[in-house]
Amino acid sequence: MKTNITNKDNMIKNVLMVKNLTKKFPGVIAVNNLSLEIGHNEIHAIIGENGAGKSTFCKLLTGVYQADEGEMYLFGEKINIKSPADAISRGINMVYQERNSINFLNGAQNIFLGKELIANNRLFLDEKKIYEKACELRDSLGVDVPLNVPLGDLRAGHQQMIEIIRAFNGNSKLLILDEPTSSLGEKEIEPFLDFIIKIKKERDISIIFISHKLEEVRYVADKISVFTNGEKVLTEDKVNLTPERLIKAMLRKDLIESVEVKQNKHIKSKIILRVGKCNYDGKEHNLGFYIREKEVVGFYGLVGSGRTECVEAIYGLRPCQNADIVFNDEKINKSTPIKMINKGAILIPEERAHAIFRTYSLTENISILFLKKLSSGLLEFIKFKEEKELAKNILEKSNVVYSKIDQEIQKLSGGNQQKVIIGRSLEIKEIKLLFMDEPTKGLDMGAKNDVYRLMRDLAEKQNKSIIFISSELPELISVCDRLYVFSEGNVVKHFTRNEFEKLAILKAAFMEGVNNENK
Amino acid sequence: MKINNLEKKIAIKNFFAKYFLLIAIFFISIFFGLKEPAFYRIDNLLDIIRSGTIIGLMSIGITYSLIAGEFDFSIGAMATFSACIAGKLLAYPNFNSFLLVIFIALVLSCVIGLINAFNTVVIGVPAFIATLGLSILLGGVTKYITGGGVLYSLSWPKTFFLLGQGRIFKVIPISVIVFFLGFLFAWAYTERTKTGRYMYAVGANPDTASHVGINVKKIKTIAFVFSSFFAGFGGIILGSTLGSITPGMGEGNLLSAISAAMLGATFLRPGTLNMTGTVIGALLLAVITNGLTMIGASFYMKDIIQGFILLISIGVIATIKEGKLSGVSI
Repeated sequence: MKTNITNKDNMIKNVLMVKNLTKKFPGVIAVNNLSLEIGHNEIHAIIGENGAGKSTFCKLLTGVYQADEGEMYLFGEKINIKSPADAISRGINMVYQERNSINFLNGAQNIFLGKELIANNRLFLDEKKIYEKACELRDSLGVDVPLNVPLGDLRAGHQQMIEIIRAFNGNSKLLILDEPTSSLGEKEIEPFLDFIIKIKKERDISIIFISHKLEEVRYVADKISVFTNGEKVLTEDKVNLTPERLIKAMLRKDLIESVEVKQNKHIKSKIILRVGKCNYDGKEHNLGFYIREKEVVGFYGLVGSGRTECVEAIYGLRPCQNADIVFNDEKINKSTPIKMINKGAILIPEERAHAIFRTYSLTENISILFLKKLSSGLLEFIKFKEEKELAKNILEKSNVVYSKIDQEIQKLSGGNQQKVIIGRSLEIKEIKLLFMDEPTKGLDMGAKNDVYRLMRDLAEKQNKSIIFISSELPELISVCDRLYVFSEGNVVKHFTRNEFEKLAILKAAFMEGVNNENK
Repeated sequence: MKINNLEKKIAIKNFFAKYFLLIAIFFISIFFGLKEPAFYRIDNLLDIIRSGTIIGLMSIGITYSLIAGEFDFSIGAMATFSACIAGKLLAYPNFNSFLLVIFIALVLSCVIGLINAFNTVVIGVPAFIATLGLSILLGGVTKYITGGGVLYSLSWPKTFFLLGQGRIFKVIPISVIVFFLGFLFAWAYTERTKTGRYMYAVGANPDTASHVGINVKKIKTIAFVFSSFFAGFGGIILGSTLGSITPGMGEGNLLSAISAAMLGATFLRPGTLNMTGTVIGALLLAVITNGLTMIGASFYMKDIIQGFILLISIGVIATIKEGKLSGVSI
């Protein structure tokens, strides 16, 4: 038999085959000439850094996006998926990272959501039959989750399982799981992974498992593919792969113009912020880090590794108990944004929408930080003339391209908006420390380089300290003096500039779980 | 050429949207004047403004809370309640210092505003429900105080009626002057002061507001207090105008006050609530009510026309603003 496998047989052996798939967005190639085969009855894991193209790839498979180039074959038949509904009718189901269930309905009702069974009288729902059918489906998958309890009362792991059972309510051939464990508690992960392995065995199905947790990928998958910069760089059977090889494959080519860094002159400068253990989000976090004057310090980690949460806790946007924070030689208890700004620290949030009032004018968006100074009298009337002058001044200083100072800020480009946000923060005399959360997100290359240069300039010439949060390692390596790696809410590793090495940093971010396993 | 035409179209559309309220008042007045010339008599015009003051004050109140992104359902019950407190206190023969009584009633109004703020800002009950609950509760308390009937007392001092019924030089109603001062304050406060700017900021985007260091809870609390204060003030003038206090009299003006504020959001800065617009909105409603009475239209016509105008004007804004009504958030 084995000797006369024809090309067609080969295709049928593969549930899904994609050839030279390409998807471009303005400014980026999200998926680049990508070819991949998903075998029959296999769990195929896809790993890669944030922005490696994993999600876009899945959205091409489920018809959310249409490919610019390339072909897709399902069971050897060339297909062209037009919409998510089309994908489902062909047996391609995806369970998204965010849950898509209704909490007050029970498991059975959620499984039949959109496919409700109607009683013989053609008026009412046949709840009994829905429950029976759902139980049948559950039992055929061999899992044990209660289906008669409102979903909201169940553990996250059970909720996730019910979403997956729902994907089987119909003719599922290919199941795509996007970071299915990201919302699960530590103890729920292993039973959940066992559940995945079990349904693969019981059912005639192939599974694409997307994750950036190495340990669970190595536990659950038959084959592993690595995506980097929208390209597939590696596909191998699990047995042939070591964690080191996987991480090496994930290394990205440097696309970033290097920034001149005058190194280590500040090595003995004063420590401006020192943070130890802090308690927030119902957990104790080990945040052993410090920042000196005139330093740019990077926070690297995967999405969900707790970098944003950490700075939000320090900045007072997240309730934080037993905080061990010393800022400017002063212990900080119960911080609030107002307090921190007055003491000299300001946060520039990841979502630009959280920093600006979109429909308000440039003037109003700038002066909002300075109204105390700009107003006088018992009722604190705003001095409009001075307000306008200040706005003009800041816009000029920050090289913002604009037409009128009373134009809406949303009419500016992303890069110019970012300049306004940074420019107005710097105008506060007290500011010594800036938390910049993904400041280059959504900017084009030129605007990104502007931001890098500005950061170095602030540190070296204007005596500011900067905490630079980013998911893109190359930019951190290019700009930072030191960097801390976050994993699962804690700081796990510290690198100084002369120790910067991509492989080691990636290892620290990805391997935390693997190390725990060995312990 | 094409672009020019398009720009012109947009400019005309914007102009129409900006001044829709004034245009509506103009044409509706002409219509009423043609039907009934007495509509134009000075004392009738002053009467229109006078009847606009009560709804006007209440809608200034709710505009405060709407600007801060909240909602205050209790302004109606609040108006009745403060009038009732004032009336009850004034009925005691040895308690007839009119200014002191007004002061007490207004302080109580502010306290009610604080309770609304506490429920919404501290406990976290959605404003719609928190203020609805308090509104029902206040209604009950008012009925308890009045015994369910009309509150009226012969020992009320004359000064009490002066506020709603008195006229300076026998022409200009005192209530109109008081109202004008109230509007001037509210306008300056929301448009010209730091706290006013913060209120708009909190209403537009509470996330950004807290990021840039605005105390969102404090600003919302101030908005609720002003909301209750103006509602209570409106209630006292209503009681004084009517010469008696009836349970439910303030609640009767609730929907009109809300519509005036919403209509006002179309004026000058379409899509953004503002005090000038609110007052002109209240005026429009007063013109409609008065005119319909003058021409002897059926009692239900008032509601039909009011509802119609509200839907049309908000609809126009929604189409101009690409379906987005920023700043008008319920």
